[in-house]
Amino acid sequence: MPSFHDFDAESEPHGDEADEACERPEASPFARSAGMSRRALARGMVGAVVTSGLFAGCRPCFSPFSPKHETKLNRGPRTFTLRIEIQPGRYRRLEAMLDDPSFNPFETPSSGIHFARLFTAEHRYLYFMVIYDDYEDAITFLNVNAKGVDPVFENCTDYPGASNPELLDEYVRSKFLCVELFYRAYDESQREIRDALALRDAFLVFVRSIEGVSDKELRTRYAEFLVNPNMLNHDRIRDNDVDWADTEAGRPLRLRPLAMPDPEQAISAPDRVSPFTLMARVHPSKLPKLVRTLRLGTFANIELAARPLRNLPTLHFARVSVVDGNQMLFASVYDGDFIQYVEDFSTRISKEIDTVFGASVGYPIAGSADIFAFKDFLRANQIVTRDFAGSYLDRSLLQIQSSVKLTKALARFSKRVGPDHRNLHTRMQCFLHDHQHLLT
Amino acid sequence: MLELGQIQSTILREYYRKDSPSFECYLFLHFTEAEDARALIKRLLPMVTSCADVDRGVAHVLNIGLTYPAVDMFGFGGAAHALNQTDHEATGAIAAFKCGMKARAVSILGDVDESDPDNWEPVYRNGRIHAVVWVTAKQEEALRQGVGKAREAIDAAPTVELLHVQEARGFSGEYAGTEHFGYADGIAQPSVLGSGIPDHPGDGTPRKRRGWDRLQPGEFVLGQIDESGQNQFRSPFFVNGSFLVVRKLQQHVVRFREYVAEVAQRNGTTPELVASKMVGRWPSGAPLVLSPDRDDPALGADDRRNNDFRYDGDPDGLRCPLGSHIRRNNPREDPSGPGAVQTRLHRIIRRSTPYGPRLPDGAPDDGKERGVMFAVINADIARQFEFLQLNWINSVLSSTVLTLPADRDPLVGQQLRGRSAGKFLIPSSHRKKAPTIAWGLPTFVTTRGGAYFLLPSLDALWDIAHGKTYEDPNGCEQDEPQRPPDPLPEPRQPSPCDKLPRGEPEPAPSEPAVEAPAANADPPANADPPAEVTAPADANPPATPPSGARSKEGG
Ligand code: HEM
Repeated sequence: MPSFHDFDAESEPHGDEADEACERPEASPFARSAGMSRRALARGMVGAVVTSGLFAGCRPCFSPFSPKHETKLNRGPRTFTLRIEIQPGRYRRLEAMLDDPSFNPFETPSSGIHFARLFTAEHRYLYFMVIYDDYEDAITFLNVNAKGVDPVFENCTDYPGASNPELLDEYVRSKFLCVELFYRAYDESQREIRDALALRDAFLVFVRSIEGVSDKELRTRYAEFLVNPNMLNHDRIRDNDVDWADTEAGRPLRLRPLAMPDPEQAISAPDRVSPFTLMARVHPSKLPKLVRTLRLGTFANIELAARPLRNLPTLHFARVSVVDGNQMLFASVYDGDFIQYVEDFSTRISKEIDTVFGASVGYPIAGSADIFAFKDFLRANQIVTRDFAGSYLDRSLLQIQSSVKLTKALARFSKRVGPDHRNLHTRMQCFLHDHQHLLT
Repeated sequence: MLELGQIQSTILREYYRKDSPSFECYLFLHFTEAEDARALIKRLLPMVTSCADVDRGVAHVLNIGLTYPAVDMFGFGGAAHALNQTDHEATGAIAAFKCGMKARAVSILGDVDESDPDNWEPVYRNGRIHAVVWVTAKQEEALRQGVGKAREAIDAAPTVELLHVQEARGFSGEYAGTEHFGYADGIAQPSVLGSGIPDHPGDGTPRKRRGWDRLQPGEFVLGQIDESGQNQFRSPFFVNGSFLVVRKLQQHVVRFREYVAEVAQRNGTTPELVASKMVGRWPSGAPLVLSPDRDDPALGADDRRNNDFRYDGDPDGLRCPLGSHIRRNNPREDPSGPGAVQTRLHRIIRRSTPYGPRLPDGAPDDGKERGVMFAVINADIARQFEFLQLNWINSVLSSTVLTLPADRDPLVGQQLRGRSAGKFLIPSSHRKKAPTIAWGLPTFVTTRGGAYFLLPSLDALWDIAHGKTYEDPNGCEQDEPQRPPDPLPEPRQPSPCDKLPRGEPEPAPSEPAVEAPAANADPPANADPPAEVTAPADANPPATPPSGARSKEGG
């Protein structure tokens, strides 16, 4: 039986490209230390960070390291943040445009994008953040949405327009803001997640359909289920990797702006995903240490796939940047209600949170454990996210994680137990029992 | 010890217990002129019972709640305004109270479809409620007396309009203490420090190993230290008051019984088990955690044992499913859910009483409306009641293991339809058996209406009655009643009321005055008399209302 890892390697739908994004802008000297062990890498990294400190002109990649190409340690979602100066006198107009609920800059769906957001700050800058699988995806995303994003970015200086990918690429790189901390709760690409979610839905339909059926019927239904295109069936994926994922119409997950609720989720949709953005002043003296810690955190999370925030079941992504050497920009994507999110912070990972925010001016003395003061701090420093789009705005992190787990479990199960397995009924019951928590 | 003589009695005293049915009556009022309303409160004030009164023994209990428009009308809007300005936690509570339930129904409470405010009963839908006079008694006769006196006072106020009378009554006999689905209710209540009543094991916050701590009084009584160690409400107007949430929840009993029977039949188990898994307790009240396989009436009836349990021995929900009603609404120290630190911020005191006749077991649908008058006491509506409703009932329960990503409270949640229709999973403890899944869960409880009230302290009621206001938090009183300050500045964060899809600002003035639900005929097969009655016909007709006020009997 293959381990999780073997399995991932085989099923990885887009192989090595995942690493491209971070390398593209400038290859790191450490990038290709092919045979380096994790520990050596970590040691080197610490050294590099310590010596580099707060270097100006930070590379647009969130880690001082570019990832090793040969491993798949760092596959999965990546991010960049753009900070673009708005032309004098255009700030209000731009804000009004972004606030208009009928205006949606990201109308055209585009694959490989997890979340994107736009906001303005400091009465001068437009910020654009995107979480993508490949850097190209991000450029394509802007490119195909030129009609929507051009009117926005045209208010900024030197904007070349989104319809020319090369110029756009150059422009984007010139506006990068260094991301010091990047936390992600999953390593799967948008396509994998989309497929896993669809598979889980299909599996639930299947489970419902086999309730109390005869053995023969069970075999037929199971065989029918196994041809589901979202099954992680290795051969299929190798055969037509790109095709089936991109052409299958009616897949549930495409970019959808926040303002357009799914009629089926008509309720205030508290389990929907929301953005949170915050900007706070930082004590300059505390900054170097903060940045070092943040980079270490990023390194652990992205390169070593450590999940220090594993306990946080509502946080999809978090990013921290330092702006102008005296402000901290925090942006996250979370599930559900703000109060619950903040309480999760305070009660589950208050130490980590204190590390991140502790350097800010006005941070509660008792730290985030003082939930009420912490909430006040967040509210006081929050900035309005003017536009937000995402690929799975109606799916919670738990749903994503259990779908991904279930997909993997199903692939293993289906390899061992086919539709004509002798004990199909019992094996199926056992499988359902063993994975019952992925079905809620 | 709290100032029990100042605190209205419902806040900390449960007037009825399982063995004695309770008779309740809610009188909803609309004020036209502040002076007249003040006079009414002055007349009612001697009848208002405090916790101390209840301890001394009273025949009936009478409490007064005010909605924000009334508070504003009496010139105390400024106190709330001042709280708002501090930009502190209390702002959440104040914002909820100011907006009122209807404005938050769709966006926060999940009242859609059948529960949509457009389908609410007119009295709640119109948003004209200024006050509730809530009378409770152990005997019907005592209730009549209490209501009679209250109505006399109301009738003497020419511009005060009695909008609606809602009665509720607990069942008697073998069904005493149960609600319409057949489950013992009102067992678990938070125990409050300084409340002066004994608590039962399990009522408080679980300590690390074993034992329970009482909750800080500020969670339920304003102006006291709360679980954050702070006092959020210092304005004397609020001190010793509390917020009251009243919700009329209709229970679809036949729908519930048929559904659990069907699920049980498909899975070869009993309807009782399926329903009990949804609740988290057996009909007698015995918790599933302590008695996983069968009901244990002795345990259910034993107040010292029936709430003394934790979820740490059941991390996978094999005894009490993670999604069950009581586990969601008070996860205690649930190792797979929000921990004790988080749970203690979201406790509520429940005071609910059934309305409508009990449907005999196995009887077909009689077409009558039944449910509970669900009342909640809490100091911060947004953080307590609304949080439960939004996050733990109608949404994902934040949990550390991969559980409950999508399903909602099976008993009281607003279920979705279509692709994402709700389901409820009963984990299986047998290795070779798949879990039981209740598919396509219907919505069993729908909202008929409700409102948010402030239950002011007796002192604050006195001040209202005598036209005092005090803008200064130090309590300097001013003789002149003061108008509230200008309209509030726009809050920085868009408040949930703002993004309401359909906000109807003002009610149509031509709405009928009294809503007259058809009086229930007592079903012969049923031992319990009907619990909901229209404004009783025997009650005194009102004095001829002046123009502007409407007749109370206009049906
Ligand atoms: C018609 C609607 C409802 C019915 C029939 C119902 C029924 C019950 C029952 C049978 C219990 C167990 C007995 C007990 O512990 O007292 C219970 C407990 C509880 N319910 Fe409900 N309930 C309803 C609505 C609600 C709502 C809307 C909320 C919250 C907003 C809520 C919150 C609670 C809480 C907090 C507990 C106590 C859990 C504990 O401390 O262990 N209930 N309910």
